[in-house]
Amino acid sequence: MWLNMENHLDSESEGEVAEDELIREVQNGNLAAFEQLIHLHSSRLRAFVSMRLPVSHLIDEIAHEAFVFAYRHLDDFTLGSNFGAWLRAIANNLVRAEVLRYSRSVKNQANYLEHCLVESDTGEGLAPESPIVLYLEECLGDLPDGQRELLQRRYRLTESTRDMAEAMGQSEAWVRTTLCRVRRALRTCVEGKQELKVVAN
Amino acid sequence: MESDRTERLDAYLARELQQSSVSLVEAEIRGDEAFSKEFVLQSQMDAALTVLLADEKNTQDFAQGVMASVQTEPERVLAKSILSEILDEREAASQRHQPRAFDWWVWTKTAAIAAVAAVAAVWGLQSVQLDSGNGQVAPQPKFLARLTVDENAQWDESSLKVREDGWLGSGRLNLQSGLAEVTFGSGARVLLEGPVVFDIEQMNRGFLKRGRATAEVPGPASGFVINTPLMNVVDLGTRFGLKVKNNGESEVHVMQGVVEVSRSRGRSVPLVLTEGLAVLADRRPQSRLKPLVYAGHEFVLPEQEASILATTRFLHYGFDESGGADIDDTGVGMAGGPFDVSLLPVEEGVAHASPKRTAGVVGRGLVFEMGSRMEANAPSRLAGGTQAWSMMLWMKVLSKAGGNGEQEIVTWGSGDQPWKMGWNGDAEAGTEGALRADYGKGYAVGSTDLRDGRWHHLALIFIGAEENEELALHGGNEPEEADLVDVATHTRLYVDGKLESLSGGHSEFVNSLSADSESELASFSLGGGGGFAGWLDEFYLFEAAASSASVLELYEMGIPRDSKAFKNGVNEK
Repeated sequence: MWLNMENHLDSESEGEVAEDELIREVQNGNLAAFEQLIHLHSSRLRAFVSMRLPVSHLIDEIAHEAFVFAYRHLDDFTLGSNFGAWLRAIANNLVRAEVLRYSRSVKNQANYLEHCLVESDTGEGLAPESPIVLYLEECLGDLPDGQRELLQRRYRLTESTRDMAEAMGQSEAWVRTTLCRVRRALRTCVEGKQELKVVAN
Repeated sequence: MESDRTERLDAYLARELQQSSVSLVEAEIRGDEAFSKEFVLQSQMDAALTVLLADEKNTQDFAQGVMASVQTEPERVLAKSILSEILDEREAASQRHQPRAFDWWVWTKTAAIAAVAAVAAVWGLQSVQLDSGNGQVAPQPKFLARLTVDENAQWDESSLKVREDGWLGSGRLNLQSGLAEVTFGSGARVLLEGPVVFDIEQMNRGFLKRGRATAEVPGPASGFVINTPLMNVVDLGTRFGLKVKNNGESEVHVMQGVVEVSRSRGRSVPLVLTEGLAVLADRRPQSRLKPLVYAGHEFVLPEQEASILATTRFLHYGFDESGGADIDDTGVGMAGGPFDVSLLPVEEGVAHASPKRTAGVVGRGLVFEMGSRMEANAPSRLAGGTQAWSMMLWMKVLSKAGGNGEQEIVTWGSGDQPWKMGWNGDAEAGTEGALRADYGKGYAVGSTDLRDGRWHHLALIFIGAEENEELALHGGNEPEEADLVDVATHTRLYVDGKLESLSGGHSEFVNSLSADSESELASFSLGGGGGFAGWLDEFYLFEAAASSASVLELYEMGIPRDSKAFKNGVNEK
C-alpha cells in the first residue's frame, strides 16, 4: 500500500493527457472509462472531503454525489483543465450545502462532537483549487520509517493500540501521543507547502 | 495532564474510548477552545489518513457504488414513481378509520374478532382499503397468499395459522427451520429459508424481519415489494435474494432482471440494480447503500410450479370443432378422460339462440349475440357449495358495449343462488365494465374496464372453505363467523394474468350445502341468461383454486410467443 501511495505522488498535471483521453471517451459514451477516472481520483477526493468535513458517514456520501454530478455534467468540463480541481470544486459546494443542512437540523446538535466538526468547517485554508491532498501525500513520503510504520499499522492494518504497542515494544501511551504528534506534524507540513505555493505565485 | 488529554483524543479517534470517557472528551472540548481546535485538526487528519492509507477494496467498493448510481440514473424516475405510489397508498390508509360497511356486524360480535381488529389497526399503515366507485370502502380479500412448498418446515407457535389447503391471511410467519414457499395473490413467490421471520402484508407486499428469502416475480406481479427494517425493495419483474441480519442490516442480490432498492430511512435516493449486483443497507446513519460482492448463488431458488392442467381435473371448451351445434368438452375428468359434458345451444323460441363460430384466440371461438346462450349439466362438485374452483376464459366485447346491472357471461350452480361471472354494468357497485363475480346478493368487482374491443383473459378463483370448516358446516355446528366463506372475500379476479384490485364488493356467505356425488348435476350456461353480446374462447373450469402462476400459464397459452404482449405480460391482442 505504501508503494501504491507513492505511485500517487506524481503531480496532477503529469497524468492530465491520459486523463483527458479518458474524459473524451466518457463523453463519447464509454462508461468503463469513467470507472477508471473514479479509481484515479476517489482517494484524493475523499481525503479532501475528510479534511473539510471529517464525519465518517458523510465523507463517502459527498464524494459519491460529487462523482455522479461530475458524470452528469461532464460535457461542461473543459478538456485540458484540471479534472481533480473540478471534482474538488463540486465536492466543496456539496460540503457547504451539507453543513448548511446539518446546522438547520436541531436533532443533529445532540451529537456534540460531530456537531463540533461540522460547525468547524469554514473552508479557510482548504480551497478546492489547492492540491492539499497531494501535499499530504508528499509529506507522508518524507516521514521517517518508524512513523510510517506507526501510520501503516493504525490505518492500513487497522491494528488496536494495544497490538501496536506490543509489536513496536512501546507503551500504549507512547503510541497514542506519537500518533497525535505525527498527525499534527503532517498538518504543519501541508500548510507549509501551501504557503510556499502562495509565495511562489 | 496534557498527555492524558492527548491520549484520550487518540483513543476517541480510534474508537477505543468508552462512552463515559467520550463525555469527558466532550466536556474538555466544550471548555477549552485550544483543545477544540486540536480535536478538529486531529479528526481531519485522521479521516484523511484513513482514506488515503486504507486498502484497495474500500476504493473498489466506492467505485462500484458510484458506477451503480451512474448506470441506473435514467431509470430512477420510473422506479421512484412506484415507491411514491406505495407511500401515497400508506398515507391514504392511515387517514381512513371508518368501519367497513359490508361486514360491520361481523367485526363487532366477539372478543376474538376484536383482537383481530386490533391487529388490523397495527397493520393499518401497511394495508389499504380501496374505494368503490360510489365512495364506499370495498372489501379486502381474506386470504392474501398461499403456502405452496413445505419442506420439513418447523413453525414457531406464534406463527400465522396456515389453513389446511395452504391459504394464508395477513400476519407473521415464523419459520424455525426447513423451507417454505409463499405464493402471493399477485403471483410473486417467496422462498423462505428457516430460521426466518416474514410478514405477509398485502397481495403484493411482504416484510422480511430477519433471515433469508428468495423472490421470484413474474411480469404481471411487477411492483412486488419486500421491505426490511432498513431497506425497501421494489421488484420490476425479476428474481432476487434478500438477507436480513438480527440487527436489521439488509442485503439484496439481484439474480435476474431489475429491482429498485432504497434505504427505508433518511433521504435515500432509490437505486436500480440489475442482474449480478448486490447492495447492503447497514446501520450507519447514512443514506447511501453499500455495494457488495454478488452472492446470488448462495440463495435457494423456488422451483417451477406443476401445471394445474396436469394436477387437477377440469372442463375445457376450445370451440375448435369444424361444425355442428354441440361443443365438446376436451378437459380431463374422471379416470383421465373428459367429463363428457357437451354444451348445447338453447333454442327456447329465441331467434339467435345458437352462438356463431368465429376466429378465436386459439383456433376458433364463439360470438354471442343478445339472446344466444349454451347450456350443459356439469358435475355439481364443480359448481356448488364451499369447495374451491376456478374459471378462466378469453372474452372480447365491443368498446361501446353498455347495459344496466349485471352483464353475465357465465352462470352456473345448483339451487336458487347461482354463481355468475360477467362484467359490471352498475357504476354504484364498482368500476363499470370491470370483471365481476356474483353469488346471491354478494359480489366482487375488479378495476379494469374490459370494454375496449380487445381480447382479455379473465379468471375467477373461488378459494372455498377449509376442509374442516366444510365438515363443521355439514355437521350442523354453529360456524365461527370469521370462518364463513364470503363471496366478497374468498374470490379473486384476474385480468390478463394480473390480479385485480377490487373496486367494489358486497358480502354474502356462500351456501355450504353442496352435492358431493359425481352423478349430481348443476346447470351451467355460457352467455349468461342470454344477455351477453361478445366473443368467447378457451373456457376452463377447474375443481381447485388455481394459483396465480396457473392463471398466468393459461393466459400465456393464448398469446403468441413472439408477441410483445407475451414478453411484457401485457394484453395487446
